Amino acid sequence: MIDVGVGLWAMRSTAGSPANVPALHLDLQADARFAEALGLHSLWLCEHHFWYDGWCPSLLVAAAAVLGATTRLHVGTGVFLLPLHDPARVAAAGLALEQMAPGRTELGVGLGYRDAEFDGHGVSRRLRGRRADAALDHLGAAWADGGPRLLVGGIAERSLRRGAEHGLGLFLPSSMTRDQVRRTIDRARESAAAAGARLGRVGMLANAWVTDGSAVEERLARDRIRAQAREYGGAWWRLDGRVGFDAPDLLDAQMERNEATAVVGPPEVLVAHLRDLETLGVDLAVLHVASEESRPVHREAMARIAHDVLPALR
Amino acid sequence: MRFGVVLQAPWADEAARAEALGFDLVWLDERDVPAPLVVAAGIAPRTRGVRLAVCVDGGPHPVALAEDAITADLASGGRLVLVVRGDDEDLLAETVDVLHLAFAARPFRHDGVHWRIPAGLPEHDVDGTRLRVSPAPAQLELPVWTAGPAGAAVARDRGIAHVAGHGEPLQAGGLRARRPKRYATDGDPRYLVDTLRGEDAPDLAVLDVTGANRAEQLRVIATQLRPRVQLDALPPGLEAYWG
Repeated sequence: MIDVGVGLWAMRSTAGSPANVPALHLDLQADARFAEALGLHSLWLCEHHFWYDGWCPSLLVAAAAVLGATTRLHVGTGVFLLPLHDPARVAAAGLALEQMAPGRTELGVGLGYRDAEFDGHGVSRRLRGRRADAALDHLGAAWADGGPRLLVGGIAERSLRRGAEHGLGLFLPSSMTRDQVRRTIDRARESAAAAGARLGRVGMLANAWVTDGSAVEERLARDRIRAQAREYGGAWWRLDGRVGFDAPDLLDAQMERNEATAVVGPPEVLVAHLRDLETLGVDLAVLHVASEESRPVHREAMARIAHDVLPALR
Repeated sequence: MRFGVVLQAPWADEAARAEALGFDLVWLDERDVPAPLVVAAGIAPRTRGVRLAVCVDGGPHPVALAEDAITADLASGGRLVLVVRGDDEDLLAETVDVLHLAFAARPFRHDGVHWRIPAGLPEHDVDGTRLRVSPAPAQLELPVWTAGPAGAAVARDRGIAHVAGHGEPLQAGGLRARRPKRYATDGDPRYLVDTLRGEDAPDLAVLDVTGANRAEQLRVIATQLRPRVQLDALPPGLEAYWG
């Protein structure tokens, strides 16, 4: 059966959805206990730095709190920005997580893209690919006798191939079409086989929401997905060479696309979608229920997934 | 007087036990524990009141260190104490100064001997020349203490606490903390009471208790030693508790 986790916790206080950040970090532990009690597979965190919104910058530290609050739940990173970090410190953190909670950490890694984040850490963005490669080698050696499971995130052909050749897993973004998912997994399997390795676990982020099947709930859910991450994309997406907020029409068009590709509907719609992902070779789906905009209702969404979707997948 | 204890694995169970025994602080040292800030965050949900002192060696990029410390402080509801150890006074001082800037939750820039923050690398397209480490810690003033050979001088200049080792004089002014290699706790706890009541008694003693009878020693410290050193003279009638 496909594993079903929930994400992505960033612990942000935005202009549109302000919150007390210390309280959000304690809520994370309560959400983790809640997710575990519901029988969900995992809870996923995401990383950024130096912004006005308090976005969590240290995922392995936050992951430890999730693991400390629970006994079975897995914790994942979607994604950990590998080139920004000192590989020796990441290796030590992974060993600490493994010793505290064996086999419960799924480390999805990506490259990162914000110049300011690289500059703040004194790392050249130009070297991010080389730094990530070197870090994966370092971690592979440091964790030879046990450590977090590594999933290579993003869509860059070269990095996916390199990860597959080393027997690592994949962490696919929610923006991929069905065909892209199939092709990416097939190619990764071929790369792994050619190197005499076996592709690791394949995780995928999915923009999905369970409703009661009514038009009212569907509209509410789709409105929420359209609003989700607009404040983020407005500042960080480059649309036609401009920052998102300077191209509001393009920004809104992108939000419309996000909404249009989201899977929204009664439980059977999600069940069918997850079964389909499973046939494509996805081992773990992370449903994106926890955004700033959905904060008041993300627990209800988690409960619906657990009560109405998981049993039908078994 | 407050008491801390140096943690051994399994860290979360040990920390919960130390808290249940009334210890004020647990101590995680990078030389014994991999990634002690990660471990502190793992302990946080298993404890409620005990302070989490994490001792790291200066050297890594202080922004990365600050971000990890802030996240551990948030995970613990504001219970972190960050202790930075160093042999090199310049390196330790610069690390402590950047940590203070980062914890102040305002944009800053730093041009030091070891680090330029933000780096201002020519290939980066960045607005502005200052950096705001985010989020803010849970504590309004996250304690940064020093340890090691260079620690006393760095702490004195900045009015922060230095954790003195064995034989090292306690810092004048501010919190007087000591973490000797070993307090002799075998046998008669009265020996330790005399040590801790003397002129040179610290405000915080971090005890490194080792040996096969460690659990029993911790119990004796909690039930006999700790209460005895809280007042100059205890009320009569409590002698029955001293075993």
